[in-house]
Amino acid sequence: MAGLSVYKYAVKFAWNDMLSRKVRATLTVFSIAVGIATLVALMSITLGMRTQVESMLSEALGLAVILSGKTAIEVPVSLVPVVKNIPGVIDAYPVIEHMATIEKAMQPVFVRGVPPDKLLDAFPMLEVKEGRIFQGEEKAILITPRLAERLGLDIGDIVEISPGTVGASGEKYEIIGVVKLGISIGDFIIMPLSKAQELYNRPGYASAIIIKVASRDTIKPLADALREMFPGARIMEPEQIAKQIERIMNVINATLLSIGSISLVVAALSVMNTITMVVRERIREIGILKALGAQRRHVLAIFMSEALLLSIIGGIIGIIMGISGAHAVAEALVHFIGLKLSPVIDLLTLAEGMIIAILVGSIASFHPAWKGANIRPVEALRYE
Amino acid sequence: MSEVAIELIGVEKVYNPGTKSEVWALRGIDLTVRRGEFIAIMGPSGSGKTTLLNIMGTMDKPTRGRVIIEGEDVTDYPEAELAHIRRDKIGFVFQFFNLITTLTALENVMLPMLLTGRYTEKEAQEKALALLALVGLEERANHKPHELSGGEQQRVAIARALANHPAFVLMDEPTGALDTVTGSKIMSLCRLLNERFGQTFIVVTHNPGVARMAKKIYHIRDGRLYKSPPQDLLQFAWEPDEAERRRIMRIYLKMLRQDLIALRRRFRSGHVGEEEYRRLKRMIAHELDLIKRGIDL
Ligand SMILES: Nc1ncnc2c1ncn2[C@@H]1O[C@H](COP(=O)(O)OP(=O)(O)OP(=O)(O)O)[C@@H](O)[C@H]1O
Ligand SMILES: [Mg+2]
Repeated sequence: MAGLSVYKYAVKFAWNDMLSRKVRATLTVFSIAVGIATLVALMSITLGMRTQVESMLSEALGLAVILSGKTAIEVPVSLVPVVKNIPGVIDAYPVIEHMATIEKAMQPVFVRGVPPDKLLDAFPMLEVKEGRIFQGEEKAILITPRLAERLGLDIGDIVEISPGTVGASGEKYEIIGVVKLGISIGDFIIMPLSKAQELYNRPGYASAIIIKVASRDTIKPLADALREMFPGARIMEPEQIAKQIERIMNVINATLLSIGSISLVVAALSVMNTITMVVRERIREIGILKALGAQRRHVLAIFMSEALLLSIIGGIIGIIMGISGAHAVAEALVHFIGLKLSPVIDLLTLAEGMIIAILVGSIASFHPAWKGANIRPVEALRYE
Repeated sequence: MSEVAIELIGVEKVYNPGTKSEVWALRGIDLTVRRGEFIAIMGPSGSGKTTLLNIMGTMDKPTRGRVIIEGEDVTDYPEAELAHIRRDKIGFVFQFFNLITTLTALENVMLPMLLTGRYTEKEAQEKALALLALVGLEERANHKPHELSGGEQQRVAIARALANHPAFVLMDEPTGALDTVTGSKIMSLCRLLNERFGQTFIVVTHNPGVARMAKKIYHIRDGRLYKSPPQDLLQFAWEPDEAERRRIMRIYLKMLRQDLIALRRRFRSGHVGEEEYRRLKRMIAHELDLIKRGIDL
């Protein structure tokens, strides 16, 4: 027991050493933080994308062509009857899909506005876990089990939902059902289309029109016809959606992965450099410690704890930066390419970020620290 | 307890043997230092003083010869064992930059005790405070080394060197970085500790003033040691008055009590055997007795 208190002073030594070189410590912490932030952002975006792709694919697997605007809710609902008249189309209905903020939630959620009678068509795998679905255009919402659990919400609760991602003043809705949406695991709030239009103050407009066809063969000609009829719109076929998403995902993955690994290498070099310098500056003190009877492990503990302190602080800052970075990237994706994506930040990602910070820090610092701990006492003392 | 603190037998040291830059730093040194001695080893620059001191302190190994500390031949001990010898038996005071700069004076003095694992943090702290009081620095306990003067830093180093009751304290030019008055006070403190408590000191210096404070002076020239004719016991340049003497005795008493507390705790928790406990207790009691009598005088 008493023998452990010496390690407390090793940490104190390291801590004070770190504080005595604030600029260097800050730079080292920053380089670790950037590495970890990139990694955390990468992992949560990838996870978010997977989720998104899965849900989109599952829904797009139906025989449908989607006609949508560029970003906002800008497709007039009046197009629906026009589209329905095109040969080969068996049904068409407008939907809204847009971001919103739900009270208590930290991340934005997606609101899906669907005509109540088309609910089962829009979500073919929908399964009511609790409560019920819409009985008409009521001011009510359905939520996913994950969201219910995360926010501690129950059937009958009244929640406030605000349009957009920043908390503008919103409207109150009653939760009437908790529904599973098949393999999709994103967080959705489903409400009647008219209520979604009210929420976003876009009466008469939708984000997209889902156009159902009778057979797979009609998809391609229909899509071409639609492109001709509505040159300003975006026409998406199921395969196209899947391909497009995959292409974007691969590019982003590869970019982030290379940035991530480069920045981890930079972080490792920075820690190694810092600890090498610390050891060089402290050689005289290594000599004194050895004269006092310190063992190799005691000296090692000092330099390793400095590396660990830097890594832990860098890791914490990096995780925070990574979370906000992931959201920033998500916003940018919505903004520039209209890809709606909510990064999935789970505890495992954060833990991985921390573990990698500690691993990078300790692996990078071990060699210089070990060398420092093994300097012969006379050599260390001669150094002035 | 062995009467001999350290013994060197035929110690030689050759740097870079067999190369062009071969240096014979020590050539057959025989030296015996008994407990309670205060010796100085004098010599000009490059004569081998630091080399000799490093070998006595087990910081370096001799090329030939034996190093025997308290009857134990430590010449061929591995580094981890030597670290234990240094921790338990040797106190070091260097010329300058003696202290760990990131720790306070108090923490510096606590360090050797914490390294033994025989003291709790609280016990080490209490004893370290007493040691700082012994060298007159209790008020500076929480200062960092850079907030202390050179003389104060040396006194902290002395307090630290005494922490584990070493068999001997090695000092390499302990006053080299100090002015004459401060240097003289430092040496007087060592002399006092030697006279009153029998602490063994080995000082290496080229300063005749410093050497004169020792009871015995050796001379080193080109790696050979010469015994000078026995010197008369010289008077202190600075004689502490009676009140000062009593003050220091009292603090030393407190220090020993702290040791006794730590010892009792370790005995009760089974870390020290019955026999060892009685032996150490008798030792401490004996010292306590001596000091109590000293205060009554
Ligand atoms: N690591 C080393 N490698 C080679 N030669 C050395 C080494 N250390 C000391 N020497 C040489 O050994 C001799 C004795 O050196 P030492 O440092 O013991 O002298 P010193 O008496 O302490 O001198 P000073 O008073 O200047 O400190 C010198 O000639 C020195 O150059
Ligand atoms: Mg020297």
